[in-house]
Amino acid sequence: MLYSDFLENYTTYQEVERFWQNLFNRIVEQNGWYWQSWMKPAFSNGTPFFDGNPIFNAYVPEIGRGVRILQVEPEESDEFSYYFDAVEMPDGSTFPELVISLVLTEETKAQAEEAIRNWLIEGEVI
Amino acid sequence: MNLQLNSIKGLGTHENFDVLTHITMSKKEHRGRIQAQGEGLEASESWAQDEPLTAKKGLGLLRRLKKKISEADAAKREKQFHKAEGYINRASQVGGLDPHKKTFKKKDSDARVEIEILSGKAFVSFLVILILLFWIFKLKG
Repeated sequence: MLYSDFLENYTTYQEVERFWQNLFNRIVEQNGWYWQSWMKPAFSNGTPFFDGNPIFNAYVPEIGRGVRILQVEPEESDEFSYYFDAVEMPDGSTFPELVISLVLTEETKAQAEEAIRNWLIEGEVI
Repeated sequence: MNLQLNSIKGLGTHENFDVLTHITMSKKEHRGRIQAQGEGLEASESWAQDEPLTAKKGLGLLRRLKKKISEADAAKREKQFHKAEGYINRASQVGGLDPHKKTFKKKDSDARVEIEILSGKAFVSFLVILILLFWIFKLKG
């Protein structure tokens, strides 16, 4: 398991956040897109959730699709699973999102990267 | 709005009602829903109001949703309902929540409980509402 203490150590948690940001950056930049986070993973007073739910969220305007990663501990999550959902924004507009739930390992990292790439480029997960 | 009006065309009576209700509710500043989903289930309880939703009302909606679905579906999501309850309680202690989507998913299944704050604020404590009202009246006065 990678970053195994991410729910106990906030420094590690921030490293994991950057890990997902970098992974996502690589994919979108290769395609000349940009992305933005559509929700702040924190309570109204700024206190971070610090629970990996979600550890990362993104919306890619050019293709109108989003991704949300739920990274939790092994006893709470599947090793790797995903489903599709829709996000409704405050203005009433909606976009489809891929939601990935995982325990982060070298293997699931590769699975997630492939799923995100397929979702963004092909609009489906093969 | 065009998208919403277009989507009314061709829908059945019950669905028309849902869409019209949604349009009416959309005018409210504070909106959201709590859903029980996955494994073929689609059930929700929503709110749309002028003031932020209190944690107490949020917990009430969560309980109503749990009663709305079958005992088997509720039992399947027992842990997820419990987590959602804890999350609402925690939110009330730290100023509530802004637009957000939180998923409590069951392991090895797509059964889940989701909380969506679509606009405004939710799960604030009653004290926060009082402070907000105080400031609104003070600004108007």
